[in-house]
Amino acid sequence: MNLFTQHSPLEKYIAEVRTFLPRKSRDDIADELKANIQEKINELQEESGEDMKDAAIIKLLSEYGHPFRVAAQYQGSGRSLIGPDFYPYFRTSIIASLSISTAILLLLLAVDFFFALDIGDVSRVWMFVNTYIYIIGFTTGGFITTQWIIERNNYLDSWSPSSAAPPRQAVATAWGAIFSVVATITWLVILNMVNLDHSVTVLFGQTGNPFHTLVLWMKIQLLFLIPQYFYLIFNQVWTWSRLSLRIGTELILLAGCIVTLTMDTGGFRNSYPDLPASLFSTFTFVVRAFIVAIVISILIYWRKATASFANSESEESAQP
Amino acid sequence: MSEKLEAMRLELRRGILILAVLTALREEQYGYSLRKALQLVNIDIEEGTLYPLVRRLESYGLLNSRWSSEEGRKRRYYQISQRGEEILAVLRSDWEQLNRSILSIAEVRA
Repeated sequence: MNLFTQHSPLEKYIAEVRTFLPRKSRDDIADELKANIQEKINELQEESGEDMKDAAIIKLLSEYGHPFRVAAQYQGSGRSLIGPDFYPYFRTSIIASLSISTAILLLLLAVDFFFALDIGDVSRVWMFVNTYIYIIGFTTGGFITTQWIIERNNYLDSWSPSSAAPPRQAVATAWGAIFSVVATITWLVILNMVNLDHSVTVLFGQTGNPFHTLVLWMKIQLLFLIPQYFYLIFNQVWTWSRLSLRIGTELILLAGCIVTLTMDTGGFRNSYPDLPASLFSTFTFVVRAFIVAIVISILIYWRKATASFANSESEESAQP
Repeated sequence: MSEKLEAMRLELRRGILILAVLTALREEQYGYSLRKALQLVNIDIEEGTLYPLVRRLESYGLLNSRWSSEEGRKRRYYQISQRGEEILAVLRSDWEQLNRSILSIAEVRA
């Protein structure tokens, strides 16, 4: 039997392995692998004194394993999309975001089903798919970018214990940062369910719809907030630029709240006479509560950051 | 436990694999003969691990290779390079040091 006719098991096996190999070294690796397997077949034939049958060759090849696995061995360890350092955080973020958003979507579906409330696209199964794509996309993109920034700047190698923030003065813990990433991404995805015109007219309240205006300001704030939370995973130390950015991001929502409270909603109310007045009064209360919360959080950031600066200054002056 | 033990043994062997391959390739060998040579000294490495490792060491410049056709058989021969010899010397020294350290720990325990 000629082992190397086009349809021999070995030829077919090598051809299959070839398809998974990197183009540059494909022929070279395939030739070498074929030569090595051929050596083994020759040796077995010499030992037994007879040609190997196809069935025996197939059995031998099965010991080498699936062509994909064989080819993978030649690819080396390579680079993974999310490295082992980041993977546990990435996995937790994805699972948490998907779970929370699924729970919210199911809740909305239940409201739609039991109370016959029209909540538009949310009730469609397609919304689940859209939500999952958004979450996986945002989270994966965020982690890849964060990892890239860390590696590019050699952040982990240039880190020094002296730069670590005291526990009480750190911006957050790493897991706190993960929680924030999950919360902001999930919130952004939920806000995206609102059928909203992304325009300057909505942004400055000229449409008269206070809900849409506040949602748009929130979305803008979240876009600034999410990268900050990703950065927080690996760096929890306060700096002036971080404090400024953090306060600036809070001011975005503060501005949104002020625009929402001061806008003329008369036209909108007239267009939807069925909407209860209590809805607007509750909304106004919530927006005012937002303003109070934003001011308090700015003060807390300021206090924590300045205490951290004072602490590092005293440590520096204590050093000989 | 046997699975974990097997994983630990595999990890331990993986660490010395490069040392074994570089040492064996002080004499020119092709893939299959290298595997046989290692098997003779009770180092049994799966082909799926050995052949890619040899290519990797070559890509690091630690091995030289050449294709040869003998009696109608195509073979790719590998042999340690000058750079490989330098690396091997360092690895061997580390290995001997580790061996001494492990033995001294065992002696202290005894």
